[in-house]
Amino acid sequence: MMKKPESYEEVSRLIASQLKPGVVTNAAISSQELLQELEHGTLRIMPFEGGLLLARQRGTFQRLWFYLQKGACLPSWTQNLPTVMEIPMRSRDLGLAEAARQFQQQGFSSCFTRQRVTRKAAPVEFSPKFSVCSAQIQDLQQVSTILETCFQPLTACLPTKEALEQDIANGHVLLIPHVGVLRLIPGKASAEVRQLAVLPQARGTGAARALMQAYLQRWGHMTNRIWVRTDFESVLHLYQSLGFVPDGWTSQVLFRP
Amino acid sequence: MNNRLELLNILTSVCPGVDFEKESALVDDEILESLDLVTIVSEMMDTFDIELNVEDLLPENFNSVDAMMQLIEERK
Repeated sequence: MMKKPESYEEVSRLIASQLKPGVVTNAAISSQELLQELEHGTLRIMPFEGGLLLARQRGTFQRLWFYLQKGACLPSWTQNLPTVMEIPMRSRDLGLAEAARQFQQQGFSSCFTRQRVTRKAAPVEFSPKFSVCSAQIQDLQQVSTILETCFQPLTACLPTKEALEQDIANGHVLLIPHVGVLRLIPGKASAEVRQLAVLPQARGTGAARALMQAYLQRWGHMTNRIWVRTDFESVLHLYQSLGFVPDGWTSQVLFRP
Repeated sequence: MNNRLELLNILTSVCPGVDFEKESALVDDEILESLDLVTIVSEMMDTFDIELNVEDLLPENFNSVDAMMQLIEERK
């Protein structure tokens, strides 16, 4: 059974014990993220022979990370909480493909796959059709509503309210009022679009393109990345028209009710 | 085989086609992705018989071959 860890040191020790040659994982966790989950009481762990499961509880469901040693098998799944996980990989990551197969044998079904598309740094000049602004703190509820309307909370990696407030304060949320939102995560060498959301009644009007153009005007001087569902053809077409190309990374999103 | 060559072998197996000796921002420039670091750390621990942990997974420790060699030497 998954349990609440007693301390950061316990979690850190368990993760360190997984760092053996051949280990595969979907967990790119920083110590800061671990500490935040511990502070909020939302982290659960389950060491087993040959690996480790970690879960972030989100009310009615949990998100799962794993470490799996080479040749190890997952234990039988006994969790009651609906669980979602994402396994990013490249074509050469055979160990991760095997891990995905084992989770599917444990009752996880594939919801969809995403592919990552990347745009190399290049200057841009656009004249967006819509007026796109940087969301302000008073827009928090509107931004939240748009994201929740457009995305499934289970699979969209939506931010917590706290994280969204911080993103808005940092200027990382673009808004067309009452139409759409773009939320991004900038890094040192690249920026990533985390959510691009346009309300159903405004789709087909060019709002998504306007948000992307505004984003690229500001962050197009860096490498830009987006994870896009492989079954979202019109969105993929939009990104491709703006210079994004697949870079070899895909991910499977798996769910077990 | 000396330690530097062994480290380069590890890096090349994880991320082929990169001239690691020429790069000084492997993580900052996202030549090494975060999931690559797990593999690299695991191999480093096994090859050099050192202990590393989550706190060591910082960009500055993996941005260059020199930085990784320094980490290895500190932990030996």
